[in-house]
Amino acid sequence: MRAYLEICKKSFQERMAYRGELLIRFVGIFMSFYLLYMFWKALYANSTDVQGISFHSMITYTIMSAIMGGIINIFGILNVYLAYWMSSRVRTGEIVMDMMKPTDFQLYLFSHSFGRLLFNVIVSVPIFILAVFIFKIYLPDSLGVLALFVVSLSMSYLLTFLIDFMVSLVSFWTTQNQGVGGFTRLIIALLSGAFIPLWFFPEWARNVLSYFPFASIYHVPLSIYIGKIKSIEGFRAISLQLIWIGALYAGSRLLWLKSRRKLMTHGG
Amino acid sequence: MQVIKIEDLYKTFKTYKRKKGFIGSIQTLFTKEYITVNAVDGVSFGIDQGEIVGYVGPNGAGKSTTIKMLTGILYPTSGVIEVCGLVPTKDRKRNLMHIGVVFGQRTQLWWDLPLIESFELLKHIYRVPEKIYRDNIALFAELLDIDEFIHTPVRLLSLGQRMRGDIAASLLHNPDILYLDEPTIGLDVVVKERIRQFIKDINIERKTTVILTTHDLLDIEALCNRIMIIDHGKVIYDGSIDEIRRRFGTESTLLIDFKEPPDELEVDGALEIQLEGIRASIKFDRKRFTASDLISEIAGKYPVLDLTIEDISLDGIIRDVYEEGKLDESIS
Repeated sequence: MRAYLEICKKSFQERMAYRGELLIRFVGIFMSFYLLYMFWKALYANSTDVQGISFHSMITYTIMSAIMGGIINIFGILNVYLAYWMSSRVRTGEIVMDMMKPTDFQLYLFSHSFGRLLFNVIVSVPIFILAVFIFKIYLPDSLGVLALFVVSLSMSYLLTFLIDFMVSLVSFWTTQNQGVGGFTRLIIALLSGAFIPLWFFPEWARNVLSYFPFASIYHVPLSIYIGKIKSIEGFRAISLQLIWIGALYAGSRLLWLKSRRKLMTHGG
Repeated sequence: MQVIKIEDLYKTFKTYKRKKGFIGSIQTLFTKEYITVNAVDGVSFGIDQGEIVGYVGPNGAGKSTTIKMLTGILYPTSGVIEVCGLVPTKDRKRNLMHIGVVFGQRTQLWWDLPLIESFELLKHIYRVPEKIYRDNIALFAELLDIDEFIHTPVRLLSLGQRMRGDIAASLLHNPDILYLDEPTIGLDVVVKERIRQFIKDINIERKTTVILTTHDLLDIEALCNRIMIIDHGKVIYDGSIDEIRRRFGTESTLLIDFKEPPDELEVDGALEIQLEGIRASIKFDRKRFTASDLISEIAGKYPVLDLTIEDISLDGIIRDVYEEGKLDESIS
């Protein structure tokens, strides 16, 4: 276990090596926040309330969604996702060096990813604080809501890691995984509520989608944050997240066992 | 004691047949013509503890593929591999715990972090006791001078420094077996010599078994008593360096300077004659003729000023072996 903790630490330190570039990112991030703000402002021009959601709740939802994307690394502002990394490692054969460690490969990658997550969380704090002042996004109603949000966000992270891991493994079969990766991210972007909250979907679609793992990634934690999902309902949503984590974990182990055998590295 | 046992090992890769050019690449999208490549084609050998074995062969001969199978990363298509009694793909972690690997063209060091950080991490991954870790760092500082750059981020190291770092990293956990895949590639002579000496020291002190692939035969001559030559996935020679010299290094060259350039030079028993001005180089087979036979024959016919005899280098022998497939005949 100690080894994985150390990998996590090193991965964090590695991210710190390029902190100089962060300032430029900050500018880009706030420009994208501003665009989102203007977009929803235009949509809310003639009403103060759509589907029971006020303009301010909507802005809070959408900017928190962008911040979340940066934390859990699926797409968005900080953007180093596993699938991309893995595909380039497999293509160059560099992956050999990672597999040659006496560690569990998935846990090894998870530790890497978790180190980056910690870095992302730290970077996201000032972004969050600035967003509170500039865009007037609001804080959770109570500490209980905040706690529930953090738990749910952790689940989102695990889910994205597992999905990302499985997409990564595609590169063991096809060398490239950019196609699958791009498609997966597109699906997540559309169906998870990352950009368009699920309550704007027709009722049947909303019902179907809420059972998919994608909704568990963005829709659940964000709805908890703005108070749209409360207490019992929140626990139920988190249970569903847990179920998906279990299922995807089992699936990813199976896929890993199959993929290991597929590795082809010529030369070097 | 035998630490590595390989029997009848095969590894087949399947790849698409790619057609040439723009039209060809479009055709490739729609046809599924596979070609199978036998990267390793029926290899068998055993290696004893404490041996340093040179594993040589032209590019693409199957050297790295064999090593990757020994580490358990690649699955053999068929055949038996045992490393210290373990099957590498089945006991992946246990096998990896007692081997060290260096791929000269790659690095296991963390690119953006100081070298020492990678060492610290490896200490935890291989659960190296603090005492052994400290002793090793001190030893590597002494023998490889790694203390000069241990606090420098790896991306700022020179190739020679990085390679020394990588070799040190692979030995931190005192592995029983060390796989070195082109550890001296692209290095200057001083660093090469340094690394050779280091490998020798480790081998003697710790009885570490070393398998070395390289294109620099000076590495082999300096380190190995046994050499295996592999080509097209098959082991075409396995034996001592002396033996290969004796069997195949029988070609010598006689260099002669004449007093005046002869119009024509005819020597019985010469394999090849090159004449340039007053200097002639004459290749001959030492098994069939002695140098003195040749010299007395030539001196009888032409006025000789000076002469030297050159033995063929190991480099030359191996080159002949690759090019002419000399050994194929001698084996079958």
